[in-house]
Amino acid sequence: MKNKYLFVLLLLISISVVSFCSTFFYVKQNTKDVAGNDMLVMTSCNPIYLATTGVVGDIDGVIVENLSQPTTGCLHDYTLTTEDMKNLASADVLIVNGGGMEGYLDDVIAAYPKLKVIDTFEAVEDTYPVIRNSEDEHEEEHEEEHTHGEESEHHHHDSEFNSHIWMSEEIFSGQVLAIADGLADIDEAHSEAFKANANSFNEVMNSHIDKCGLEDALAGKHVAVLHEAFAYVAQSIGAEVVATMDLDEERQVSAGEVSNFIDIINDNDVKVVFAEYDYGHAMGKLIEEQTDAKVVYLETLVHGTYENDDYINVLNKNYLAIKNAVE
Amino acid sequence: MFNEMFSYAFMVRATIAILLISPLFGMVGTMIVQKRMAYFSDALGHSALTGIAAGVIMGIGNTTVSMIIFGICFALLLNYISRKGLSSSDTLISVFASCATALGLAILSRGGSFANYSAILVGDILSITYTEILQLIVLFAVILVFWCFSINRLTAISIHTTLAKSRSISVRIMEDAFAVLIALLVMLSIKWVGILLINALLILPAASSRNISDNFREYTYLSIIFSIFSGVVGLFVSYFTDMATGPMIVIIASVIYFATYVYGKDR
Repeated sequence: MKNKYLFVLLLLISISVVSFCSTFFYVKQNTKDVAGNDMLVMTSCNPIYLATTGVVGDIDGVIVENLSQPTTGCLHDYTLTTEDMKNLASADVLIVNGGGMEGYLDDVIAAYPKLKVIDTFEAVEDTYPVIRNSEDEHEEEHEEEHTHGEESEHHHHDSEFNSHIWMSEEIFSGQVLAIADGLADIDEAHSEAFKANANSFNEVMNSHIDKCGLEDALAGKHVAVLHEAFAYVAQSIGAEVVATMDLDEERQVSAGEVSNFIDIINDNDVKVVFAEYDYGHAMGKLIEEQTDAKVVYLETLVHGTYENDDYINVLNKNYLAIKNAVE
Repeated sequence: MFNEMFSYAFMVRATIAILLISPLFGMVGTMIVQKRMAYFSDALGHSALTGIAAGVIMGIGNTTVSMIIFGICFALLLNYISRKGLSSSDTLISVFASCATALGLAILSRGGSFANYSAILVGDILSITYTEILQLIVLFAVILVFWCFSINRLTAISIHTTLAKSRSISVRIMEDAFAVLIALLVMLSIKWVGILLINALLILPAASSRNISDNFREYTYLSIIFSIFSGVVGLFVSYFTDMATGPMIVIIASVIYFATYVYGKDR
């Protein structure tokens, strides 16, 4: 009897000790030092992180951290981790893409009412060519919103706009300026530096992005997309999107939807379809079998390497892939 | 380290929730293991999806209400059909669980929108609010009162129904009341624990305790201790290592199970 209780006691103590020690070493290895007076700027996703690091540059006393990102899947369904919650509790400002992209934003605002939020979508929606979702699609989603009740607020499709605005370099430059303005309001001492950095970031971006002559080759031509984000790629090169099927990891498409999509491609003489490899590969193969269109796999910038020229490199890679497919 | 942990309101709420849910799981789990109802509670967990789907169809804003109503109906129906003895109970539970899950998935995935509900598969204890903690406190009180008044009767039934009947215990009413209790516990905690893991939390502490207990009192106490311990240590580790809380609690509970299994076997 006594042995049994001793066993239980020893068991619980050893589990506690092992858990405590391993956690302690894990924390020690992964802790980053943030000085007390530094301004901690959190960003919601990779494109916004890239824009913000461009704006902050090497200004002292401002630290930019990105929320931990999903390695697969879609930004819209991302839920915050404990690490994110801790970072947000000590953050001075959160910069988001907005437009319904961050489904968790309402929860964050409710949990941290004092946290300043810079919504880049709100800043650019009136002055830049933001794409409006088609009426039918929006109405359908609206209907769904009513049926789904409370859960619907977390779905990106609630928005009447296509919120993947960073995929257009024109709108992205607007987001960069909005971030600089937002940060300048919060940290007035560095306001000039933020704006100067934003302007030089935009200049470098504009001079280094090479559209490979696609504005001429595809201007006014019909294209189809298998991810909403690529509607902005089409917009940048002046092509017209005639069919959209938004595929992600949870999306199941019906046979009717596929046949309708293929019919539109054939009827409109679509020569190129933009898709994301992970979720559009199977559908891409099917489309290439059934139509004359070529499927080009592009990147959405959601899962990046956090390097400074990531944005320029990915966009250039995308344009080159389209050019190769068109030729 | 701990000061920092409890400086966040969400961690305080999560800790309170763990301290409320885990003893309940430890307590109710003992009777589930004793009455060999592990499959029953698992089926109830899966039926939560259908409860949400029913709420969506009927336009009920708060899907917890529809989950509870559906869960209670599901549990009572399962008991009723099991009593008829037309088929073995494991087959019946399996048929009901598969049917309920399929129905829930079919409705919720309409228009490719299952992503909105996938969070319930893993659960998220960090997002619990004070109102929801209040619900758990009420549930805690209800289960505690029920337990104090019914534990002897339930134990008699779990040993043999004829023995229970000979002591004028209404087997049917007690079984139905216990099923409703499990339904309430599962449905009110599923959002925080997740469909995939809720049964592990119900079964593991009780099963570990059963490996080494000599009497029912010891069985219950050890189960509650193991459950609270796994909950608190799991929450602590998940906080600092940035992993999901539910799976971490189950990992700790599993370690306890294997250790007690080895010890119990060699006794």
